[in-house]
Amino acid sequence: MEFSFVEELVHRLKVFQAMDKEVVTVQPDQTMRHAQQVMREARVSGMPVVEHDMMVGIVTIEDIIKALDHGHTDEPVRAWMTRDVVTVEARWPLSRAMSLFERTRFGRLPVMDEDCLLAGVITPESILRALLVELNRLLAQDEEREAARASVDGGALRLEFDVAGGDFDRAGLASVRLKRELASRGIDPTIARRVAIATHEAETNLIIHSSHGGRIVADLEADSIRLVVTDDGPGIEDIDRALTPGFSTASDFVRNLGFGAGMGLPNIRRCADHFEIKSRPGYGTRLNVRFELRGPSPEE
Amino acid sequence: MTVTEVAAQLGLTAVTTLHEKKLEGAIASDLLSDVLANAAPGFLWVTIQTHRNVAAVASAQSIAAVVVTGGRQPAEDTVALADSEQVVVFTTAASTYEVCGRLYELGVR
Repeated sequence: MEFSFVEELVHRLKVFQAMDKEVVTVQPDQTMRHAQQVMREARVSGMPVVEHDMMVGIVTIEDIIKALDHGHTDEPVRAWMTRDVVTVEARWPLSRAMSLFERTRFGRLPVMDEDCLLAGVITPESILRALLVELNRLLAQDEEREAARASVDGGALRLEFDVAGGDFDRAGLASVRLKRELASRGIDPTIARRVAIATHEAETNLIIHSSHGGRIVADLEADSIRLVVTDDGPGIEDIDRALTPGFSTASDFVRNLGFGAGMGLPNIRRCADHFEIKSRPGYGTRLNVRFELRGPSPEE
Repeated sequence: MTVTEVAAQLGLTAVTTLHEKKLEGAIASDLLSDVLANAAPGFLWVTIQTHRNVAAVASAQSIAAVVVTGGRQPAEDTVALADSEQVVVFTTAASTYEVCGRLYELGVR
């Protein structure tokens, strides 16, 4: 039998991850009138009755209505509460709590921890909320994974990174991942470091300057590592100036984050064995960089 | 001088897992490209920057440890990335100027 994505999710998530921990309770010797007020203020339709830290029952809006009908609102909660309470355990999967909701048609269920103490309350709404939070988290993870792809073609490894414009929170992630990949493939650490520095600068340039982000493709070949960085605009007006250390068109906001020192392209050129940049204002920029795996490095 | 020796001498607070490494030098800068251009593996980096790029730059440069000065707290994702890249991150209430002065006195040059 094949499980759907949501089925898998409600099986993996546990009750304690979805329950409300802030629980409104009453004591058994308080009056039904008091219970009614508490429920109205907290906007709940039922609540656990707790005595000396132990749950002794549950009182619902229906119990209150019954007490009202008979004019017994001054009687203690103890007299009207339900003693035989259906509970769920904190460690149960959500699916088990959900089938209990379906079977009982209750609107809320008390959650008990391992010591049989009240840990919280679970409702269909709190389950829905937990599912949405988890879905959001998984989607964010997927986006992160989507942004990087690896493929092997004829022995050469290709790593591709999509870099979103303006996304400063993720700046540097492509370079970190690339460096990790190179290390795991036994590339000389000094070369891996130069590749990582160049990638970080290129990535930062895409984030700061590009109109729609861009792409970094790294090819690991037998004798060299190639880096191709492309974007579709806005392009560089004056490449010679862009290559001058200290020249930057970055905004103050970007500079405050520590970027935009005007050293990006110069840093890339310094690290690389081969450096080529082509740009057309209004169209985009293409950067070709190569690192030799053998031979002297330009830094030494 | 090693990472933990410096941390003990300067009373730095570690916000990541500690990794003992010999320090090869130090750099003080708040410009990421400056660090990418002028740091070297095994360096200690003194900065006021706190966002995740600090960890990315430190990783690219194989920096041993980052000291975030002025009582600033690095963001959660900065700490997480630094941890996964085995970069030690410290915080201190002292200023960059003070930290650098003490480091120089200790012989980190």
